[in-house]
Amino acid sequence: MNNSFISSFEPSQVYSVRKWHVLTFCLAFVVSLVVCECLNRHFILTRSSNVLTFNAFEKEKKEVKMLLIGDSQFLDGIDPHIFPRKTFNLSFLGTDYIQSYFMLKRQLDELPALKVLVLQMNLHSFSSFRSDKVYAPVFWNRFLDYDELVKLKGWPILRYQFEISFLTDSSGRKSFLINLMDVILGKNVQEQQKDVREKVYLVSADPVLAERRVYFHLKGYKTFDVDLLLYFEKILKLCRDRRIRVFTVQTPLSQYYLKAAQNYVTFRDLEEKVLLNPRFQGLIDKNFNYLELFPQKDNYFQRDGDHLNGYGRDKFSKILAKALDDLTKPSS
Amino acid sequence: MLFNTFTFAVFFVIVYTLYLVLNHKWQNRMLLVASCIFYGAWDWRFLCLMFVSITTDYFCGMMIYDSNDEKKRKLFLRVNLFVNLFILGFFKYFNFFVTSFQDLLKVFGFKIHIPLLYIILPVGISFYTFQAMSYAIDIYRRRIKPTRNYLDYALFVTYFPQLVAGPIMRAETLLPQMLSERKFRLDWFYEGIYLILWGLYQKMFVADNLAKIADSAFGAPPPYSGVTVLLGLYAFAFQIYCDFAGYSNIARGLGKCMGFDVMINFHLPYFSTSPSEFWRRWHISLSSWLRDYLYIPLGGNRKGTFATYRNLAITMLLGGLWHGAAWNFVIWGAYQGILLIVHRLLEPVLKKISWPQRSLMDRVWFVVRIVFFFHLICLGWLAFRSRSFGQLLAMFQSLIFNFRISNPFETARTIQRLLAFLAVLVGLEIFQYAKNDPFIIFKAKWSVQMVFYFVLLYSLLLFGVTTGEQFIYFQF
Repeated sequence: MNNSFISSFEPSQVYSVRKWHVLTFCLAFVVSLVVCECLNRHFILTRSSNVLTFNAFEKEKKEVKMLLIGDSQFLDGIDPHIFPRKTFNLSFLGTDYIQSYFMLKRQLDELPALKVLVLQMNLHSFSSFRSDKVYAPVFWNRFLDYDELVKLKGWPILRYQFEISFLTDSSGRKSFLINLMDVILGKNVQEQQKDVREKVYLVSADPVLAERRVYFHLKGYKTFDVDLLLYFEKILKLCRDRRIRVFTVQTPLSQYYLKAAQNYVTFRDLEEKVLLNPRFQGLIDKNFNYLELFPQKDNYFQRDGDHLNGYGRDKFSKILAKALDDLTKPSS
Repeated sequence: MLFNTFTFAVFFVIVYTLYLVLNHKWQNRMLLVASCIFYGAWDWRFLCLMFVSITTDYFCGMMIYDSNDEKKRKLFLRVNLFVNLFILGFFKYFNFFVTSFQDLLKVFGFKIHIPLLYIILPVGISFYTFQAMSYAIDIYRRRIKPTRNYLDYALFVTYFPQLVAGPIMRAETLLPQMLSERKFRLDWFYEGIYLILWGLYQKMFVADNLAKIADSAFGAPPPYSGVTVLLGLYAFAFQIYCDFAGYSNIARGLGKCMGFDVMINFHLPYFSTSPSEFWRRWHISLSSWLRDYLYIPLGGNRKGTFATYRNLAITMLLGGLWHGAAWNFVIWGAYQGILLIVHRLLEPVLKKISWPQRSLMDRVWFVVRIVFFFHLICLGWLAFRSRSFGQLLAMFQSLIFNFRISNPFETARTIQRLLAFLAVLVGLEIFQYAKNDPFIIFKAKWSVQMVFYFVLLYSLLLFGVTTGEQFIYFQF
């Protein structure tokens, strides 16, 4: 230790940084993190779009006949009000089949009128890109069975239970910013979508953004994760046991996204691994492939590579509503 | 291993803890091992390549110094330069020269096929080969003595903070620091922590967020709108600056914490009012390397006007090529050379434009020059960032002939984002420039400092890109 680097310590001669300044700063920073966390939990999360959507669902759930489940592509892409029968879009940002399963498991028994479940199944739906992450964990804590998840995924999941601050997690930060905007704007998702509809027409689907979305969803990940396939199957079986019909849907994607995604996964892969797989036979009533619904019209209907804009949502919702109505009319 | 990752944070905490308690000799050994792990984490096979260069430099350095025969000295210098340039040329430029040669022959109607190499470019190769060459040249010029300890020399080349993206340190400044005992100076430690934090802010908050704007502008298909291209260029100008300066600042900060004085590599470059000033502020370690080992040996400005211009053009062309094996870098280098030459030609005229010092007109003229020259630099970035000559031409045309807003909503959003990401950076740099003090923040009241650090930390926490985006200069 005599000749060590630390023993050669020379006190500061240029800067007059006092110890108590440093200590105060550190303390203030830690306190600010805790304050942020409290504000987030009590003022922001309670008014977040996830919570508002779920609260609205709680009020209406006894009458819901058709339930739409998916992630942001479904949330942005389908307007449930266009559907003829009581339909609720219970999609959340960044959701996967595992989270959806836990939520449905808790909810299905409280949905006496439910006859149809429409499940999103896009090219990225079985990708492992977010399978060890929980998007907006504080919201999902009420549904998730962490014991089961930890057995499945291990430590990456366990940390969500003991998270000190949302700032330490990238998805926590992202959902905080989204929720903060919701609170500042004082609008729920549906209202914001209406707002954006006016502006979004000016934004063209961008090949770079689309490619980045493909990388985000697919590059370097397992495109058919076994756990996601397992929980997808569990959802189907939950529904079968309750005699709920299940339809799977591929929402429209931009040509740029589809082209870039070809290197990783195609609709044929989806057919081979899921739709024609004997494991899922008899569990899915019908699949609706709308991946290329708007060929060469990305600039009109897509917000970015994989999300529809207001115009796209209206058009697609009408098409899907009609197709589903034809199949699920009481006579059929 | 990237500075902006959690893995590196853990790595550095372990290295620094060991560094604090070890004595000088074992510090150097430990740093060498740590540097090899740092580099090997990317691809351990290329460690061998680096050690080929290190071994050659080490032995050639001693031979050059020990010999009194000028011919032998020259021979060993040539061997050293050949090995380093061969490594660089083979891994970095082989495919470029082959395809360019094939294209040239095609113009004359000849078709030949030379197989290309399918190898990845070793990270940091341009930096460590230049550092190694300067060592041998300085020994040849009798400016420094070679080190007799192989491990110390190996540490000089591999020292992890500056290994993969510089600054390109000279042996005369870094080697003595390696060989003598370093002291834990609290002032340096403060500066080091500040530089690391500021570097991370530049990289993760400014550069990585601006990258999204620049990528969208340069990735979109034609036709281009002039305003979108200009905003994309602004974004790229600050992206590349903050990406590279951020890396250099982190490298300096890590060095300072360990008692090393790593040279400053960027000194407020966008406050330059002329191309020569820009190159005294931008990538200082490379521009001074090119000046000392290329421009001056070519004759510098000592052999008449024409020779000066020729030397400037050669230096900048090769400087452009150093950045990458592609024609857009050559064009960028040529453009920089032209700027330097034209500025030299216009210098007598520009000197005549003057107002009384510190008068309003003098200040306005000063700001006008900064803004004008910044736009000239941005034009250079257009060549640097373009993916093809066609894109360069189309974007340039849009700036001149199609300067209109194609999408007011998106343009307003982009401007908002640019301002938000640049506000703190530009604000601080104006103060740094006005007071000519890079550590001006330490002189502020402590409450101001506290707010400043809060802003940095919360910007990083809330908006920083934490996916470990690669540094642009890694590819060079």
